[in-house]
Amino acid sequence: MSSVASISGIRLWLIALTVLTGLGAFGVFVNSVESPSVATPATAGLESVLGATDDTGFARVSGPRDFIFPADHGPHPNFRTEWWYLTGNVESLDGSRFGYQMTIFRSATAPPDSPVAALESDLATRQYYMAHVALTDVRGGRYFPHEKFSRGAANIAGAWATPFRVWVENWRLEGQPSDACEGCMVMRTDVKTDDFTFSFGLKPVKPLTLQGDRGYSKKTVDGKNASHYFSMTRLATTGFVRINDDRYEVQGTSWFDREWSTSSLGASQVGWDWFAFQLEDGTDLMLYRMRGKDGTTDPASAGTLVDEDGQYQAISADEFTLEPLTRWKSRDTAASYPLVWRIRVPGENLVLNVKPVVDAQEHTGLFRYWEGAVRVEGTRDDQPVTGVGYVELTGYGAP
Amino acid sequence: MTQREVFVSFENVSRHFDEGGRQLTVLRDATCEIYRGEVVALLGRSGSGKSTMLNLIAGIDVCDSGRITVGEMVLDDVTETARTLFRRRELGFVFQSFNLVPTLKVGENVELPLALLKVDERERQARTRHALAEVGLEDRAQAFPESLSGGERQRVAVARALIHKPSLILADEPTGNLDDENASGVLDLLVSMSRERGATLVMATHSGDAANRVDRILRIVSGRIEPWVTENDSAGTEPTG
Amino acid sequence: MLLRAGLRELVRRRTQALLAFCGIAVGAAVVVAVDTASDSVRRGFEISSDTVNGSATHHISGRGGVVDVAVYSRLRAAGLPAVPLVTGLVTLNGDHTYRIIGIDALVDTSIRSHLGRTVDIGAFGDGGELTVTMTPGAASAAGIKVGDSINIDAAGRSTIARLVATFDPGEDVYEQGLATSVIADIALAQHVLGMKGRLSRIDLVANADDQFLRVVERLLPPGVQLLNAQSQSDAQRDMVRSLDTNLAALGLLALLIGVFLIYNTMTFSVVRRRQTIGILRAIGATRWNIASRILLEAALLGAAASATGIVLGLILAKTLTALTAQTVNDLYFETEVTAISVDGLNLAKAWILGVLATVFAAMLPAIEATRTEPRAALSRADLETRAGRWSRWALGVGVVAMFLSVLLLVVPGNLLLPAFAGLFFLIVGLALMIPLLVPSLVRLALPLIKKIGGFDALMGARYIIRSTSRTGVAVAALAVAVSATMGVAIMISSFRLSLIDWLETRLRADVYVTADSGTSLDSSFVDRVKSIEGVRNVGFGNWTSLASDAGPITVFAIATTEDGFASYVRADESLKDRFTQFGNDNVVYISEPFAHRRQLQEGDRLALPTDAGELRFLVAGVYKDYRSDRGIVLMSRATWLRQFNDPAINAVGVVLDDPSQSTRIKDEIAQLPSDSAAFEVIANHEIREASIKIFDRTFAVTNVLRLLAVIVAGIGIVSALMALQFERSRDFAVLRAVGLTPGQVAKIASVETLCMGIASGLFAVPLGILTAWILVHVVNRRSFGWTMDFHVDPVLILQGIALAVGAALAAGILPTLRVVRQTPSASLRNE
Repeated sequence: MSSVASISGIRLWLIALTVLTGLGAFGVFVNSVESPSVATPATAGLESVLGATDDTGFARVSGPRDFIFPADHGPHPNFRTEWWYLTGNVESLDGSRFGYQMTIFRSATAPPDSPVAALESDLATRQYYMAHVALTDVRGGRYFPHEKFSRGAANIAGAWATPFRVWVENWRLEGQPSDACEGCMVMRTDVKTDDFTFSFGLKPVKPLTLQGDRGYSKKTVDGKNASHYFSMTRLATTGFVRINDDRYEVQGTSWFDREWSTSSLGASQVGWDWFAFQLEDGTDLMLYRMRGKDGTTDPASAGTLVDEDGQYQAISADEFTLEPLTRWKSRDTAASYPLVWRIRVPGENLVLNVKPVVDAQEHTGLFRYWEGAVRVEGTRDDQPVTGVGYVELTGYGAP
Repeated sequence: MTQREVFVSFENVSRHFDEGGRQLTVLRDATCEIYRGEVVALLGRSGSGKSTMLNLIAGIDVCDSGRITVGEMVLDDVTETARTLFRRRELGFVFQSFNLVPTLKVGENVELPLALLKVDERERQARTRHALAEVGLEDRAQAFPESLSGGERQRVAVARALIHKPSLILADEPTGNLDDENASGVLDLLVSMSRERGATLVMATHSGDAANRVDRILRIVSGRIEPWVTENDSAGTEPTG
Repeated sequence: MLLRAGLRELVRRRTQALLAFCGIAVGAAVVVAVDTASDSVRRGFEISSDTVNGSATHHISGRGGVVDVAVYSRLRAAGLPAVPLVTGLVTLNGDHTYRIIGIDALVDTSIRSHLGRTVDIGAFGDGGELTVTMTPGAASAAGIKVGDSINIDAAGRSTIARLVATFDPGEDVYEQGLATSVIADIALAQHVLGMKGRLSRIDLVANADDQFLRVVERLLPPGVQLLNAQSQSDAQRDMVRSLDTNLAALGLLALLIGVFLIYNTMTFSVVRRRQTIGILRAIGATRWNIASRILLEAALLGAAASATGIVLGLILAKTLTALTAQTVNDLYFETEVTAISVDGLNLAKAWILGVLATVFAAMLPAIEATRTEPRAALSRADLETRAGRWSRWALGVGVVAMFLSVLLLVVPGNLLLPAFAGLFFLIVGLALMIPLLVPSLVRLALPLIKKIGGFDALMGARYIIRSTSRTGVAVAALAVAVSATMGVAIMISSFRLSLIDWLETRLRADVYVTADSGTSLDSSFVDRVKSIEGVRNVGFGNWTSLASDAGPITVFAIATTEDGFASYVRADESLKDRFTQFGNDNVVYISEPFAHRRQLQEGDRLALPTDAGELRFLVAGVYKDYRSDRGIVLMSRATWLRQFNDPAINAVGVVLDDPSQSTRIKDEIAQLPSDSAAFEVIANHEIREASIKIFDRTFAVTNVLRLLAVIVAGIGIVSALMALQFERSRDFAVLRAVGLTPGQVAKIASVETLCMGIASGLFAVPLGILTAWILVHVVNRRSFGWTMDFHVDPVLILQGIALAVGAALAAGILPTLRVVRQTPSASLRNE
């Protein structure tokens, strides 16, 4: 997935930790959930959150490196943050369409040499996990977000490289190496919530996309903030979705992002808009815009275009435009999100109109943002083109 | 009655009581003399101070001012113990009611003064029997006072008052609670027995009946003790030598 | 207007009224204090358990009050909303015993939201620093400031953590519940308590019919149980109920004696006013006018005195609460009682009780007053005749009461209320008979009294007979008070002797080794102890608890010799067979309290959750044990290992060749290496002393209440004697007129009081022994299931009599002084 998604992940996760660890902040936060009118530290805090983080003792990302598989699918515990980010669009034979999200974040709260590590306790750990899952039922117009938090101890949550397994309780992502390409994996994910169950097999149809410079993704121009980052942009997805007693055999495509870092964010953004599409012609497109405090688009905004064969090229901030068309106001949070967009990539002669499959795809748990399945249609080289994708919008109104 | 020895004398005796915050003067500069062997009736309205006067003579009350002498003894000058011993030896007291100690049998009540004087047991019993016989109640010695009639109780009281041959007998309305017949009997007994023993008897009373049997009548009017002088016996009541 | 006259009367007789006032007030105060104390302790328990339990409806717990972390992982991995808890006692900075509450704030968001929402989780801290948090009150109580490093000691290890901040739990109850708690991340708590791999329990929130509870149950391994949170805390609360009832009974006793006081005052007031009442009746006041006036007077007196009593009671409650809390801590569970919980309803109850008791006590005098004929005052003789009738009536009631009492006591069962009711009826029954017996007793002694004391003594003694209506009741009241204190004292001394005796039998070893809670010794340690020179024999075992829906079951699995086993059973020819059966079969022996609580007897079956599921063990016997009033299940180590597969050892008893060597060997054992456990070595006599100390502390409350009962009784006797001597004043005046010295009159009064005291003492002896017998054999058995040897210490009997005589004499001083000081004519003038 894109670096914007990564940024969103970092941001959410850091806020989560700050909120949980900052004395009293947790209380304030819970209060804010109870009554949205209370000022929350979460929105106020991007800068302070980042500024407050002391990274002493953690490993740092300082330049490109060679990825080693399967080890790099597993956790990198000496870096502060890491995530496994899976989204996709699937459809049943009878035409029922669904969007899904299955994302697991890891965060280390202390460097490796902290006294916590020396505690005689099987619940002692530096590693904490957060999982966000969601299912969008397009025909029913329904959206079910869920979240779990857990310490990475006692096998309740964790991440292994071999066999590949990342899980929070009974939400799992597992995989085994595939010979299809370097570092490729065949994966499956199983998620069960009170609202839905899904289980998908995921098979890469393109090689890995290494983001930025061979997977070294600079987040600020000076390179002080950067991450290791690669993606599987197109995974053939088959499996089933169950909502209540209705079971749907489905297939579709998914997008998988892997990223880890210790410090990866500049401090001047209020939010971002992230887009990832899989077009019917075999092209995968990812774009993101980072919105500065003054409403401008940050020069760090960028994108990647992956062709049918998996060849990819970067798109810089001045090579695309994002035009919000209609806004949708959340009844839960009063945030107003631009949900319909017109996107132009002149260099590719590409124009795409983006529409959510369901308007209400807002995560309303501990962290609030819009992350939802979309359909796109437009033209490429004046030929009609359609596709599916996921959009993430953060920093609109309440967090 | 040739010897007119003064036995009891009141000189300017005053006695006040606090009655609900108000001072009530019962005796005011009262003065009188009572001679040894005399039988005196004390008249006066209710609350006039008859009982107070008797109590003062008995030394169970003390005056606020003035001087009371009984025999050789100035009551105010002696100790409580001396007064008690004086009562024990020289005094017999008969009250209107509640004379008898309810926890003592009739015989024991009569015997009490002797017991206090530590008279020998055998003599005590003999004298008690005799005293009860004198008042006609020798067969009730073992009864408790409550089983006696009012008249009988007062007779027991008389017997007790006289058993130790006191020189002074004080009687406070001894017949006040009795019917006429019983009253007369008790009065006769009291006066005659006092005279027999030559004891001085001071008796507070309402009864005109009583007044007829005495040597002299005193009366308390407005806190003062005055001799009672009537037309017919003004001379007779004034003892003459 | 009638009332005004009555109140004036009370004002006039203010000493009398004041005494009655004090009596009622102290009575009400005791009731309030007892109520408040047990309420506060109960509330303290509820608050502290609520604070830890939060909104959990179910607990998952296993053997020894712990559950394996793997169970938690398994539940979580199945996506079940299980919430872990690690809690235990720690010492802060070597000085303050606090409860550490280890939670996982990430998942503990709803059950303990009062902690989770505010807590700074230690392990989360910057740089992984170890941190804890507390309420501001808890911090300052331990003398800790934010930012301070704290030494946290438990399980033989010391951990340093920083108080990173304080937090406000939002509600007062939680503030109270956390007054001696320190909150930490669950991992830190595990570390501090040496509970790696184990949790105190796992909490769930569910409706009873929630499907997921079935799922949970299926996931639990043997020996781990899903328990209803409510029934767990009910079971704990039930344990304190007996204690509550016992305290309440003592409180009511104080009130009962207060009632006597009121009776006395009101009767006296009626007697004094007989003439007035006669006049009132003559001018047309109805009987009801008179009675209602007296009752109203009583009600007003009762109302004012009870109100005062409530205030006194609240003051007293502080002491009583502390004592009760201490007992509960010693005997049952750790509880934090930092505040006295004042329940308006309780106060109202005590107040109404006080007023009703006063009115009730005034009923008899009120009825007596209505009998007064308009024409005249009754004579003393008539009054006594009437009193005679009353006392015959009282005798009848007394016989009925005693009959009832016997019925109540004989009826089998374990209910405490009938036992106390029986005891109450017995006391009331006997007390009602005492007035009838008093004259006969004194009459018997009259010749002797006359011989020793002479005329005046005789008079004094006869006064008792003469006014039985007054003296009889006073003697009865004093006898009841003295018998109650004597009975309780005999019970306590019987208990104490039984305890000492039992300690003697049970503590056969010279030195004991106990592992700190949560840690375990192993067999190699036992071997090392065995090899110490001078050690003759070593027995060992494991204390643990099994979870059950009726609360935890304490199990003691022992490896012992036939000789050691003999202390649990009657030593007869079956001993050998029994010992063989003990080792080989699935049998258990249960302690008396356990048998009592579970209604089990020899030959019954007891189901225990073993590793292979529930197994029904044969109860092979019931043994005497004062260790725990919730009871103990004893089984052989062989049986334990067969069914439970848990080799832990946490108790070792060491028999020495020469007991005088215990100090040396104690030191040697203390130096032995132990891989897994922190342990303590204690000499036989230390256990004995500690046990007796706890025992004595337990009865501290009882002693306070006993003292109060005697104080109320003392006030009653003073009041009664003053009333009596007041009635005597005219007689005394006559005596003074006849020539008795004040000293002689005082002697009469004193002989009367002395005789009353002696009579009370004598009556108190059988009554006290009977009370003790019932306390020992009925009340204690039903409260705790304990049997004990009944032992009547003659010293206690003599103390009781001395108390009665002393109380009477002391009570007689004031009235006697009055008699002596009063000018006789004043009494006569009252005519």
